[in-house]
Amino acid sequence: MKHIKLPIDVVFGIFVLLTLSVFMASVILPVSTQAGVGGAAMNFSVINTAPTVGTVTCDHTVGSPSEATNFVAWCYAVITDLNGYQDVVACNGTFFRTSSGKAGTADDNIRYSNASCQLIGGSSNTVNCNCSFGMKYFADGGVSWTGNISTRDGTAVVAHNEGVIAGATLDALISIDLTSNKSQWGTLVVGTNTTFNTGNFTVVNNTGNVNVTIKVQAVDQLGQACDYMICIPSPANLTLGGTESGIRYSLAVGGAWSTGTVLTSSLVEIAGDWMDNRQAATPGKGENRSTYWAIGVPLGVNGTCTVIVNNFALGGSIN
Amino acid sequence: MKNNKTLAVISLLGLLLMATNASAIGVSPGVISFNKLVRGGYAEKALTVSTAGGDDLTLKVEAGGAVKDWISFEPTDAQVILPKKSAKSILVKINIPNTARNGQYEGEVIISTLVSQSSDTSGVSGARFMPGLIVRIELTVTGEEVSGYDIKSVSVKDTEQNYPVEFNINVENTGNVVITPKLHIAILNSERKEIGKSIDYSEIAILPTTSKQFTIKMPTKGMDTGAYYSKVTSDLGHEQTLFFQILAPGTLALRGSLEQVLLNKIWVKPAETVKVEATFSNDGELFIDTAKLKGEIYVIDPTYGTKEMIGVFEGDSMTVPLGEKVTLSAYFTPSKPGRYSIEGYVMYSGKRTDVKSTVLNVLEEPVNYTLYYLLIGVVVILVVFYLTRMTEDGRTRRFKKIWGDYLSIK
Repeated sequence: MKHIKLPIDVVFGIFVLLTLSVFMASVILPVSTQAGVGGAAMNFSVINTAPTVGTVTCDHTVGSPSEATNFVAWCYAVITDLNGYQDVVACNGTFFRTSSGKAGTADDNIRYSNASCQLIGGSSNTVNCNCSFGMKYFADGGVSWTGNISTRDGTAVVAHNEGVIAGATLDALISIDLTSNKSQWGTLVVGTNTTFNTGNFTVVNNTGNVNVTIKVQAVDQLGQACDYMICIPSPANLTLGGTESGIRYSLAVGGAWSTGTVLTSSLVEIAGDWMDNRQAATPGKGENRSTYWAIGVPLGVNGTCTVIVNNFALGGSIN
Repeated sequence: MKNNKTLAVISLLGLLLMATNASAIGVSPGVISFNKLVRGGYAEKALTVSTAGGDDLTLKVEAGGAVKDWISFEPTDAQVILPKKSAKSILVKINIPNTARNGQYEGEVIISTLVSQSSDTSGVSGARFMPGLIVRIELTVTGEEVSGYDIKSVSVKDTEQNYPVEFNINVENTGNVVITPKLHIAILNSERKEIGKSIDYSEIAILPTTSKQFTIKMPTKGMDTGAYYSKVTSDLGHEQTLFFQILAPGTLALRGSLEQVLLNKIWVKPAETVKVEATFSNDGELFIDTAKLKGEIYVIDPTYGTKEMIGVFEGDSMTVPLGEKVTLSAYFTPSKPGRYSIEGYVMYSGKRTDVKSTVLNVLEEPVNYTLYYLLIGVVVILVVFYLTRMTEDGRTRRFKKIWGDYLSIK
């Protein structure tokens, strides 16, 4: 039997290969570390884990919205990071009308943003993110709003989550600002009518967060529906709604009294859904409309005649 | 006749549209809507009426529409005064008659502004324009009873020995029938184990669409001073655990709170010392003469999330004046890589705060491979040098001879 004697050169070569194998193994395979004292040893590596954003809850301050009054909405969520709450370095939020989506400019009508929300109440691996949004009174109401909270950890890993506002919608605010002017009609003769002119008008401005329509009605001092203007002294009151007498209104200037719409004791809508709540980026007022008023004076009327005209606003369509 | 006509003309000169200041009014929400109401049922909603104008307003609030007899208001006054630049709440109450059929119904809340009785009306004639609001009401009556409630908040305050501990609870009825929540409160010791002390409570009836805040008092007779937990549960599965303390008589005026525990660094290497800081405030009525940060260190198993205590820490003592906030500190040096939970609390004048914690990440030391590279390099050079040398006979390179020998053996 022939014994094979490995030459020393081959042995040396095998030794070199073994050394290289150990080196490559130490590079490719994960390094084991041992932690723990006095108990069972645990082997693991510490790596950065991404934060997560919990359920997002949103609401607005109690008692709002109010007429032409800005308010605050807020969203908060609990952020969890297994590397500890101190690894969460920032959070920011966007509050937007749900149907309009998160992307886009913060325009005060349908979208707000907060680039530096508060991180508070940190403990163990959780911290609260509180985002507040200074809301304008005319931000779209009666619709769903959603809050999106985004967070970032120390290595710039980002996470986010969304939730709708409590009660599912931002409360609708129906609100108007009514202004009427002082006018001089000059000499009036019984049996004549005035025209719709720029000297006799009311302006209604939408100061809410939904579109509105306007209904008008003649009432007395106690707010009861009333079919006539009370004239003092008598002998006769000025009947409303007649073919030759009464108060009429128009949305246009220049027409004759006879072309206007009759004012009566019934609630009548002035026009369709005609006043938008939204406002331009530059602060201003919501949409406003002017209504012109004219009067027909019948024969047999004398004295000082008065009536109250209620302008009721009610919610119109949603933008 | 001519004189009569002239007289009539002169009088009508006074027939003017009078100027008024801008008059503003708003109401929210703009629509009241209730689904799944039942015959004989109840619902309510608060309206907020507001004005940003400069005048006080006198409001008249009335119901309208087909269901106006179902609607009432609180306050019940015929007129409501709304001061300038203010908001006021008006409660709209809806009582569904027992005879109501299933279906959809509509109504209105009509809010009109009355002419102020104090305004100067002498010489005023013509039309006076006032703003008003109409809130739509939409009701759906079904035969389906829905029962449910939400616990909106639960809180508990520290108490002194032999005095009851008070739980303040706010519950909202989310259904369409009257409910009586059944609550159970169990007391746990500082290690969160039940001590056999509990109370059951079901004494509050809550109308649909309304919330109620109430207090449950639980006797503490026989309980020692110290830290406790309370587990509040309901028959609908709500559960919340709260911390409170039973203090020695007369010490309630001594009160401090731990806001948070944090580290100056959260990513470190082994043998790198970290500073543990705690923000502690004196919220009571007495000077705190000793406050000290103490705590425990746990190593976290990343697979199972379990913790194992490996040590404790303690800082120096400080005084804390009334109303002041201080930072207490201690130090910790981890010896091995891993993720640690640093759990701290403050001992002050014989009392103890709740525990707050943070996480420390200790990275492994990076391995220095320079020596390895050097060694490998030397070995490779030596091998190459050896193999490329000539054999003893001077005619063949060594690597050729080795290969030749191998082939001849094979």
